[in-house]
Amino acid sequence: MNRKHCQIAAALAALFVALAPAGAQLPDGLAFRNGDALNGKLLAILPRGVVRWEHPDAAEPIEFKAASVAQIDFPAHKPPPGASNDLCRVFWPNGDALDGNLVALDLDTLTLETWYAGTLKLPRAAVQSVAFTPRLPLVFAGIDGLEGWTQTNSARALAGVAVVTGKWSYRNGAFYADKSASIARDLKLPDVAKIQFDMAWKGTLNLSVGLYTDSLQPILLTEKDNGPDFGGFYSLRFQSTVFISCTPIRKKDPLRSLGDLVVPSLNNKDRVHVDLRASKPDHRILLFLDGVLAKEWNDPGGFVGEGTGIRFVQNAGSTVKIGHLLVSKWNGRVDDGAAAPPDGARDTVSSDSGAKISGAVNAILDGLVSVETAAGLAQIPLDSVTGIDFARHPGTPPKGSAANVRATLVQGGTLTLELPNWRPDAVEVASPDFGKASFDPAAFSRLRFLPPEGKSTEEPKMEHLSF
Amino acid sequence: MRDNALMAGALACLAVFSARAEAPAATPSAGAAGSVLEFVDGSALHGQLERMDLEHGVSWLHPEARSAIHFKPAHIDCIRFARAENVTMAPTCHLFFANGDDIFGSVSNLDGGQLSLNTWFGGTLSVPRGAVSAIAFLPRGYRIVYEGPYDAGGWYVGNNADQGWTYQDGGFVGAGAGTLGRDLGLTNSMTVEFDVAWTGQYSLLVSLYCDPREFAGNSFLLESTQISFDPNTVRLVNAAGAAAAALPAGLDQNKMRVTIHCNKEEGTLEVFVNDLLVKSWEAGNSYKGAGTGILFRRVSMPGTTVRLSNFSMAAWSGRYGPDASLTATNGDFIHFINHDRTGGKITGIKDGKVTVSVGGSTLAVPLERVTQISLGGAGVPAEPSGPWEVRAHFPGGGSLSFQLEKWDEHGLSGKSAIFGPLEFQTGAIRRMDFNLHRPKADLAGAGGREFGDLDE
Repeated sequence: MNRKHCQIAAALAALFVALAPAGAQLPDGLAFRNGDALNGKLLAILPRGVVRWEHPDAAEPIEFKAASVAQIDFPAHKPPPGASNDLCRVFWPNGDALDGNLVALDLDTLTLETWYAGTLKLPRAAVQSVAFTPRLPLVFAGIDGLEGWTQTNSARALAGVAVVTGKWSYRNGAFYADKSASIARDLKLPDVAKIQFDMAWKGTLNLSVGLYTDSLQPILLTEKDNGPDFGGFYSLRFQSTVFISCTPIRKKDPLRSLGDLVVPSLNNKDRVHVDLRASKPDHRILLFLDGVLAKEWNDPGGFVGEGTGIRFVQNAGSTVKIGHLLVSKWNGRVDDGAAAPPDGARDTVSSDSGAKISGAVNAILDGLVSVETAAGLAQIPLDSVTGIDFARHPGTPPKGSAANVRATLVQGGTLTLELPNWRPDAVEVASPDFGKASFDPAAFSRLRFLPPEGKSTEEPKMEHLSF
Repeated sequence: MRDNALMAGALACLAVFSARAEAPAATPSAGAAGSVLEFVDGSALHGQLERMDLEHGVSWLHPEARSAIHFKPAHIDCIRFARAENVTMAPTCHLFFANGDDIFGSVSNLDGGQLSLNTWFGGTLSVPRGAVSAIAFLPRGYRIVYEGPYDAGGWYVGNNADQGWTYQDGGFVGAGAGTLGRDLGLTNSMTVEFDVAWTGQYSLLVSLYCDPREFAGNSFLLESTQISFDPNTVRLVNAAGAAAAALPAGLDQNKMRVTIHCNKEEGTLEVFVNDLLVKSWEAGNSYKGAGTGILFRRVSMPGTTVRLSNFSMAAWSGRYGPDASLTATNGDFIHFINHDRTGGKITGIKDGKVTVSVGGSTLAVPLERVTQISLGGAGVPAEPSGPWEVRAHFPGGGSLSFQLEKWDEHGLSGKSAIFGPLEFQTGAIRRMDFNLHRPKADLAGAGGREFGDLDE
């Protein structure tokens, strides 16, 4: 499916924020395969292939053919308080993922307790891995408005250079800028930190990210020694889309790049997930792009960052969106994510000490993981486990599926589902991974309808929505 | 009484208009599948307008809806019709009204407080002088030769890379290298107008008086008038090189309306952006074009997309072109073809002359020496504001605001504060705006359409 136009509804729902009176309930967004879009509220998805939709200006509910719908977006909403107790994410080979609490595992079944679907019995043979939520606390979780952020013009504008300046705007969990502008906040970055955000752009990407800064004002590099005082920081610069550099900036110090990076593939993209890891003690910064380590910078002069703030400076030439900003402490290890299974023949248990134990996971019960290893039975406290990669089962036949929806869950992760019936109080689903279940509608943030069998995934565009 | 008279005139002339209206290029009438209903929140639905009136609202037929959808107009931004029928007319002037309306027509008389004019939609009408802010006199032989696009018919698309020019929803969109040309049969002076919207650092070359069918490589470069655009500059390109002018600061960074006047008789070429004169060149030999068409060429630049829409192309002759530099004035002014202007009290227009009192003297100036008349102190009773106050845009130019009363298969009716009762054939409208006084969202900055394909 063409992801561009099928995300129109999300954008329109976001725009609605600007138009709706304060306190108004945000709309759901409906995107059609032909590029049309309509805000409103999803009332129902009926088994007979009908999407029933409410529009505030329509006299009656509207019924659309479900086959014509590409996507439905729901306004950003936080998971209920109980969701914070979810301690793991279960992954399937097709990319599906579910959050919950792993309460038991035996040779056949993984039992997951969830706030949105009760207790789910998941066939173990189909599960690829389990990643346990990092115990490292979040320092900053998501952009939820401009409050707390400091906006200023770009440094060039502040220095009197004639440039077209603007401001960052906030919409639906993200910042947007289409002119030169700076936005900054003291996020109290930990000394060893993991900083993640999604970045999307149109045109030529020219964005500077100031790390560990104590200045909420942008710094004009050519005037840094003569301008107001500021503490040292690192400038991560995305220039001309494909050039990335990391430069320690300190007053009165000459500029010295820690090394440049060229990522030609960015020319073919309009978005990327940025994952930064920084360690003051090790004076190093690592950059992951879309989950792949792109560059590690080590500062031989020691860590120059003197503040705990972050600053995004948009320069002219593009329009940029920054969203899903997450900051947490980092354990200092590069492979703390859901890495590929190291050994497909055996189960592998990773612990927070960095150790990996291969064998056969017999059970998880009463807070212990039992692993049959070559050296005998090992029992590992569950709360020290960071992940389990299950042995692959090449003989497992792929299940046939009538899945027609790719659902994005409000906590993250996606599911491929057959979704025959959506009611305001419950959503009936059938998963190729775990069979039938009833979900709380609040669990979903997006429904992407898969194109009918045999139809091209590319859909016609409706360019007038993009201009 | 006056309203009744106007109504009668309008109805009488509607018959004339109906008979003279050109046949549409394709069978569907206005409102056929492919029209677009746009809301102020940026959402939009393709489909067909079934009808609209005060009781039922806007009845919209969406191809994927099980029945007609009845929308209240409170949040409708506009309806863009898939096709409009060109209006056949031979206007001599372009009238601008204080309320933002503008129409093409002919002024027959200005006497005291009333201006008499001939319109394509209502025949001879009389309007209060105070409603008129300016009258721009059109050059000799002015005629619209193309207005659109409503489809790709008649356009030559060539030299395309992937994602070259394609027709979409009333415009051509190009994300790769390609040429887009049309033969307009132009041999004399012309005015070309179009909207251009873009993302990134685009580059667009406009060739005038060329043969779009014979484009090959760069051979056309020396055989036509070339103007290039990018987000910051406009250049006249000819054999002697390129003369550049900066586009005005503060432009919307993503779109603009371009007007190009090619005055062959005077040998000048003027480029306006958003109705502001950017540059006037002595084009001279650049007018030795080898063809009679126009061609748009874009260079492939990664990550950029260009959309061209709302074309209006006019042919004319004579020494002066249409005056696009209208400015509001407090007093009356007359603009002459030699670019002089004089203030005074304009007392009348009659028998091809405009009379003006200047310093106690009364002058009678032949209209053929006048390019524009600005009338100071214009003002007009405001239309009752509300969602049913609409503005209709016509093919070939011009727009009227009025209170919409009904739209059905028989036509459209409404009431204008200036013109009184109005009736049109629905096919004579290419776009209708609603909620005229509702502030529009800053879509580019708000992360709406500009980021329509970035959100996830």
